[in-house]
Amino acid sequence: MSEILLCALLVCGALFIFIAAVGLLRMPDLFMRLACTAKSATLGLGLLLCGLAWYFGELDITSRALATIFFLLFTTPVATHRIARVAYLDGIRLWEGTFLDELKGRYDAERNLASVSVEEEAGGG
Amino acid sequence: MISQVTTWIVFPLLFGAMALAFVRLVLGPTLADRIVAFDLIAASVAGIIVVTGIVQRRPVLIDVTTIWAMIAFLSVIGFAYYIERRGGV
Repeated sequence: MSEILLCALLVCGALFIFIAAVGLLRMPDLFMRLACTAKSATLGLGLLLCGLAWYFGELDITSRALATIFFLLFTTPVATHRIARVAYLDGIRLWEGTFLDELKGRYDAERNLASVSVEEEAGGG
Repeated sequence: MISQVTTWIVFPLLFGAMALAFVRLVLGPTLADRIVAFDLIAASVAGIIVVTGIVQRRPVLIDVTTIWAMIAFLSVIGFAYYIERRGGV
């Protein structure tokens, strides 16, 4: 029973990482690639680490696996947001089928932070 | 059962993910695409390390995974900083 659960965790984790790779290769746009890669790879690695914690079943290994999972959950959005922000500010073209760009005109030309200030947001919104 | 599943399903999926990410690393039109591909290669290598730790019964490899994830995160941040300073993707 525990072996079946371990195999299921491992296969699901590897499958999610593989799906992330397929999405990275097939998606037409940098931002879609970022979205599918970040979420799916994090989930896959988390499942693999859960499988490792389940297999050994000791307190120190489980705590280290959980710490690694939380580290991944905290760092992956940061790295992804960093890449996406830099790429958007440098003007990477979106996919031609994109019809909603909510960030358009909200960053100034000097590549600084959002040009929409707090007062403007409060007054305009 | 575990060794058969890992040999025939888990490891091929992880190495296949690494190969597909490597294709994107070679093709990628911009530098940001290459950074994303590098991030996914690092993630699949971390998965390979975890599964190796299960197969060979070496729990010390979880520490290797943690350090590997940290190095991958820092290198992605460094590459993004480099793009930002350089200007133009």
